[in-house]
Amino acid sequence: MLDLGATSGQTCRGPSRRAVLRIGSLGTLGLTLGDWLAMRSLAGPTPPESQAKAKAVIVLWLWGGPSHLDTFDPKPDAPLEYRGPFDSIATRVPGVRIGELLPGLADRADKFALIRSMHHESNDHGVAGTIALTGSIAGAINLGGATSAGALKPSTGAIVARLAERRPGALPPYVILGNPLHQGHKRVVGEGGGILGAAYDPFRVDYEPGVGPVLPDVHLPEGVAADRMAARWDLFESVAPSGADARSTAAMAEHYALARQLIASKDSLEALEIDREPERIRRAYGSHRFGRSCLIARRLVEAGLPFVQVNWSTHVEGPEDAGDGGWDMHDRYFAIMQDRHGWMFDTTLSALLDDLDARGLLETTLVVAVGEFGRTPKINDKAGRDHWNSCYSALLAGGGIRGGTVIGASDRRAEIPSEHPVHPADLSATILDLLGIGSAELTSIGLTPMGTPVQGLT
Amino acid sequence: MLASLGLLVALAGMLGAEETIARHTEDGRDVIRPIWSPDGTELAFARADQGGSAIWQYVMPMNPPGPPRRLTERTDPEYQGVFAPNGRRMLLTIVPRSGTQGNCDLALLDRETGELTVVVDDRGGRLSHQEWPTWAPDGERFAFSSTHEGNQEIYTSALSDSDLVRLTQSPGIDSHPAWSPRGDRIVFATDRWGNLELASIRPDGTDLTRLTDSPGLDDDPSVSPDGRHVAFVSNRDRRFAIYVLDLDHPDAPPLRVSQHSGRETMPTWTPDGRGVTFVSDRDGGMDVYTVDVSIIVDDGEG
Repeated sequence: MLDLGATSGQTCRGPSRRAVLRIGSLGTLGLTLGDWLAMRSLAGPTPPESQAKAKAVIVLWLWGGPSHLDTFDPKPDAPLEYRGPFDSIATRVPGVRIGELLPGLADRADKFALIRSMHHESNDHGVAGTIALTGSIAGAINLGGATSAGALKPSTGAIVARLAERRPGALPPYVILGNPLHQGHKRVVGEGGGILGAAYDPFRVDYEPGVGPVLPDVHLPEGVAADRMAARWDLFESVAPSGADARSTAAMAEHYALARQLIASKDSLEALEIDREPERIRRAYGSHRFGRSCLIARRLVEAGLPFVQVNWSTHVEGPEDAGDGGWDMHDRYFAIMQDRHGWMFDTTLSALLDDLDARGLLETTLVVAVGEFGRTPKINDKAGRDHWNSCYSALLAGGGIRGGTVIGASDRRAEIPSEHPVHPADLSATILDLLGIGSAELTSIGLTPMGTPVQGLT
Repeated sequence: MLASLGLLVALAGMLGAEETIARHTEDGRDVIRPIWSPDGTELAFARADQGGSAIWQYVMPMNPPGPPRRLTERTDPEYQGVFAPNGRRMLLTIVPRSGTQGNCDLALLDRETGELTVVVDDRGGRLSHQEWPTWAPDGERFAFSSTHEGNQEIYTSALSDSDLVRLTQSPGIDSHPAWSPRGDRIVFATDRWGNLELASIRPDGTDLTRLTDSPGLDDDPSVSPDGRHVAFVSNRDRRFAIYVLDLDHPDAPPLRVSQHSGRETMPTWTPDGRGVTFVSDRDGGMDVYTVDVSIIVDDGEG
């Protein structure tokens, strides 16, 4: 059951568009392939070297920074204080070994590629998050509150949203499952439109175990009915600024309008109603928030959305987070990996790959699993691992990715890339390239291409 | 207490038969370290009510049965509760305040008065975590793991936080101690030989003995009430399952107590020593179950 807060179901003043969302009815949700191609034709000619292989992207955002040594880049021959207590296991791909907590993924290694040489310039969660999401440090805010020079760039999802545009009545093309990212009490920037504007911020959905899907941007406080929300909206409109702030105001208006439509059209939100899924599918994904969110992501992609991001958590640290707890495990790391994060990630991502494959969607749906950085190869004095931006791993599957591929390598202690360093800007360029978005499309919307698509993945 | 739970004797892991399992919880919420009261009338465990921010200790009446109830009114996480031999007191691992990195203390809870007293903390030094307490059978001391000296090692302590004794000296990780009810050994997990294996040591820190040598990890040991067997979790067959090791026959391969394909972890013995209780996702969520292992502990006479 979708939780829209306490509403009366009334429509409000303004355009009376219906938010139409029908599973299996791509044309009413958002973008069809035809729309996509039409959009691209408007954006300019397609570079001959750029052929769209993917129609949709699901990013699994592992907030807090998973350790590459205990997941996709094990170092069994490293000294004890580096390799940690977990062994490596063979995978379906000869010569490729991953961490023993990921047996499901080991059995599916022929479906995904690994980049073992990710790196960037900051070990601050907030800054690293911005770099990883936008490909640039510009506008990033660190834990101390200092802002990096330059204008905040759009996230990869926002770029897709900008190029996709949105039809009236359709969900936005860029959806994040989860609340805005935080580092402590500070909100992390980089999930939204940046210099493209707030109109391309993500539309947020979340899943609360025991409650179901909720819309954080739409949720009304208990006892506040839709007509009261409408009154608030009327007040907002009456004081709406003009001029320089009009664009962000318009974006907010767009969100409000959409929220109103959703409130008035509960029945249209079938993509979020995972109770419609067979029990075996729901069980395969897991009953925890991450599992359910990944199932919703699959339904949204199946319904035609081009870009969905699943945030593992809101906060980097477990004790702060009301969800599944982030990956920032400076202490008790190995116990938490063994008892929670390892199997949750393994079973859910395995289920997602299987499900997409079974539905014929994996070929055109790119799945990316990555955090903002890795973790220190040398175990700290609290049986944990700390931040490590110099080297970490990413997983890519589907959407034209050649399974079983390993790009790049790290040194013997997984401290630095030893082959083919890859920056988040390159990963973003890779994602966009697989969607058929290249330099021409980026420059057509005023963006300067930053990274280079990683070669050898397709 | 198994009879009162209506369990039938079964051991599919040995016999290949369909096992009979008693299920104790049905809400599917994450469960941490179930453990029985000494008289078998209660089952303690921690449960994740809201992800990582609300993991709290519960005790669930089993005879007669009743709903789980919280032991404290704390808002910060608490878990790994374990009953003292007299059943009146419990040791808990507590997070003293939210948002800290790496600070867990051990606290003593008087169940009659509700008084909660920290008995081991970071000892005035850097943030560290003390966790996974296990009582000596006389109730005078307890063992636990701690990082307060910069590496995760096994210690014992008296309840007054005095007379702290460090038992292990390894650059690796030593964790999850289990004090044998016989009192003569403490079993724990260690990665000093590579991946996690089980070892045992005397309470004075001497006579380190390796108990397992397998691919994959062996962890979360629990010693049977008669001190003859150790139940533990292992992924030696690529999935997490519960095994039982015979300490009298250390060269014999451990026996798997369940053939289910789900994930099983955190075993603990029933007070009568004839069952192993554990956490499993066999029904979708993470719930608590008990399997009868009489056939193992009775040397095949079950």
